[in-house]
Amino acid sequence: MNLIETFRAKLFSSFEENKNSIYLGEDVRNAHRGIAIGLHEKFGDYKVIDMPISESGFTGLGLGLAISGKNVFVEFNFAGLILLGLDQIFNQAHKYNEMMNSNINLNITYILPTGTRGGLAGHHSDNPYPILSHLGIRSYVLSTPFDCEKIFEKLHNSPKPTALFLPVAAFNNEEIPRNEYDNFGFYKAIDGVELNIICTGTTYKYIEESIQEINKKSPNVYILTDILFQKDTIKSIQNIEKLPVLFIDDTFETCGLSSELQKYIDKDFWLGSLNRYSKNVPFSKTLEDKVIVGKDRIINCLKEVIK
Amino acid sequence: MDVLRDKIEELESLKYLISLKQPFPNLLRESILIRGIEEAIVALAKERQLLGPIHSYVGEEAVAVGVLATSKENDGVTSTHRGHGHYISRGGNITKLIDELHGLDTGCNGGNGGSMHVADLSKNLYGANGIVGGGVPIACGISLANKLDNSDSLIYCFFGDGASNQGVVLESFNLAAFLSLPILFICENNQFAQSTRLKDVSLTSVSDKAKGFGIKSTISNGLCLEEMYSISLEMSEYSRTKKKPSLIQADTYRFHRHFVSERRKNIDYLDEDIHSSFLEKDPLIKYSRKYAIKLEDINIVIQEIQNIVVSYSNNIKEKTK
Ligand SMILES: Cc1ncc(C[n+]2csc(CCOP(=O)(O)OP(=O)(O)O)c2C)c(N)n1
Ligand SMILES: [Mg+2]
Repeated sequence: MNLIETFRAKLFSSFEENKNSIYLGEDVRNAHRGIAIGLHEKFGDYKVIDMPISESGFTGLGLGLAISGKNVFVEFNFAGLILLGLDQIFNQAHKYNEMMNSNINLNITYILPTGTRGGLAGHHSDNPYPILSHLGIRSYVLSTPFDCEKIFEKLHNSPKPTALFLPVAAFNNEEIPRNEYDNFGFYKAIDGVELNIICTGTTYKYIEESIQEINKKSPNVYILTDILFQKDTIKSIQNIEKLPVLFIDDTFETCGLSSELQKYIDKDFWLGSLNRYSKNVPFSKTLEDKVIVGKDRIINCLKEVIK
Repeated sequence: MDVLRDKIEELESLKYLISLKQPFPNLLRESILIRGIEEAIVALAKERQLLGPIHSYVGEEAVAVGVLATSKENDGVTSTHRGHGHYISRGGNITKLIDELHGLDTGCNGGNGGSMHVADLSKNLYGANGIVGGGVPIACGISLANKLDNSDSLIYCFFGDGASNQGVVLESFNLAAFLSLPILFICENNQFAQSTRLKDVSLTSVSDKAKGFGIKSTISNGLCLEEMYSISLEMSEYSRTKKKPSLIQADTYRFHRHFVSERRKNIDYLDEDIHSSFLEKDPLIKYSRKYAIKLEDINIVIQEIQNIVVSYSNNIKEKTK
């Protein structure tokens, strides 16, 4: 099963196991974004509810449900729309327990398909996940089916408002060999030599393909899913092989994940990072390719580094 | 310079049609223009000749055409993700529109915006918008600036039925009302927001919502060219002279799916019977019947416009290969 199929299967299981589960969002009965396909047919109108186009409103509605003991999933049409719901995520959900001096299990998960398949222009191409890192909201960028399995365990064992970014570039990613005990916040996906590449789900697939195209021995490729950099994640990052490190991720270069990651890497080994320029994504393919981190930029960068 | 518009205007078949006896030849011409161009764009998008999602305006022509026929040179327009119709009826450059959809630097947004952002500031066309409802408060701001500058400009603010539930749109109704803004809101109720019907997520009409904010509002048949024109004359006159907002809820229908490449699902939101009943209410059919214009003659022009756009587009593809 690929990433999106695994995610869906886990979502179904969580509905079967927890009768309090509810899935909200725009056009979710019709599974417009291809995520919750079949969920409405199986669980019906009271569990899978179409929302009007009112992101701020239904994000807050989700929190109210969670405060009342429901297990809530809020789907956004695309990740850029988190900017419309952010008040209810950061000011309300994220701060709720502390401000109220309460200890309620807030089972609320925001589901955010992220990234561009090309030609989506300024409003539909963003990967805004580092914003959530900055705000301190628990967030994951899922990259492989393994991540989907682990994240649902995490949501179950440690309920808390959580944002899950599903990169459209990773929807079809297949299972990779891995250790059951790997920390899924940060783990090695490809075993290699000479170089450590750290990436996220927005770039993992392209890196894998690029390495094959360049036809060189693979470097180590590590996947970062836990973009809040929780303790275990930092520990795993600090334990990587003593080799030069290159970070490849399709998010803005300024004040972003790259500078955060650098804190945990021995500075003698930090080679640099390949990121999206901190610019709006233009529509035309030629202009877009110059801004985002697509395969061309990855191949050029790898060739340069290998040289 | 607008090579495509010039070529289309020169079509003998179009000239003939316009010469026939009828009360609103310009409305007919503009509607056919949009229909031909949009059908060409749909065909090109289906063949994957164009980049990105395309939201087609086919079926909704009467709204943009009827409403914007009342706009004056220094008026302004804000648009939606389904914005080609507004762009064309406001006189936007058609060649630059097609160039934009191909991502060329000669496009109306220099290849930066694509379909969901088409704009032509020289015509006070402030742009299509990828964020549903995003243009509505901006329209209020432009309208307030006009008012403060003692300009007599009216802002035409388009948005969809789906957008009408967005907080920022309802907040804008309130802003427009209490700031007493010269703005004409046009809600294009094309029956769907993606797969969602307005009645499934809202208990009131958009017109009633606006009334609740103290805005003069009405519901009209968005599939009828003449009705859209006459209601827009009345409402724009009101907003212009009284310097107050007004709203038209135009009930219409999009003839294609939400965006061109949206696929039919096993269990689909679109009911075939409802779909065909709306296709029969085509504003062009209605107009042609009323004034005894042969539908065949209309279709010939549409086809010729389509050919012009497709061949222009093929040339671009050849050159950029
Ligand atoms: C704020 C926001 N939410 C969701 C979307 C995704 N989306 C794009 S078009 C659309 C439906 C819009 O419906 P409506 O306003 O009726 O316009 P229509 O497409 O019918 O012309 C949705 C939900 C978006 N672009 N922006
Ligand atoms: Mg609609």
